[in-house]
Amino acid sequence: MPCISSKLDPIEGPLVRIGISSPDILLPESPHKAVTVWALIDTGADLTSIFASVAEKANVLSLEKRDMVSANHTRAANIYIVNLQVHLADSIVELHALEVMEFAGAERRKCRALLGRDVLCMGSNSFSMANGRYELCLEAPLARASLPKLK
Amino acid sequence: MPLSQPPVLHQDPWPKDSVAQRTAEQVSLNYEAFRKILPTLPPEHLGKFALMKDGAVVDIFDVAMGAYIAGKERFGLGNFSMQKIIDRPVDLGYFSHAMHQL
Repeated sequence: MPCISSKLDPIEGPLVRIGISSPDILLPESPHKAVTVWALIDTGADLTSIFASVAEKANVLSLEKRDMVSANHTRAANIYIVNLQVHLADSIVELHALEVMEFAGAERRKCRALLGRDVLCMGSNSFSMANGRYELCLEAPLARASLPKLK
Repeated sequence: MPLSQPPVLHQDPWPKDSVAQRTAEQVSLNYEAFRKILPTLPPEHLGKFALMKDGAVVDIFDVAMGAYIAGKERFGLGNFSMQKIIDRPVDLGYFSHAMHQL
């Protein structure tokens, strides 16, 4: 199973590089762009999430709003369907047509996305931390990769 | 490992009156309508996806892509949106709660 293992930066947390692109099935008239950013591996997040700036750069289209809870209120946030590429040590695992949520975070942090439990708990994926290091292993290919493409 | 630099911001956003603008209007209209409709939907629809147009639920699908493909075929891109039938908000966790302060 493809994995990445790295030393944990206690300030930034466990990070992994991910690519975000618009599925060609959704935007046939749009030039496809893959935007690569750092994502925080976040077992506390229900859904994988991206900054609004990442969605804008990747030119992905929101087809839904969904309620999200924050520290002191609930608000509506955009949902995007994207292709997600997770960069591991020797390979890239791609998930097709994944729903991700838009959220606002501090731009001064390295991460521009959260890799949430929707990915971490899929199939036999695993994430662990020990002795100042973390390891993320993703099953590949994942079930969502087999979705049909629209002509 | 060196950090990769973020790519340059996309310079040619969707033009006005484009698919994106019409979709955004449908998303907002249908989201507000969906909040009123949600309590009336049968519980067996929880977890499924509603295909919506002009404030009305027109069909229910098991997966988001099913709603998307049907919406595009029936109405054309920009003329529909979809809503997951879910009775609790998404929680992005404590990190997102505190992130504006970090």
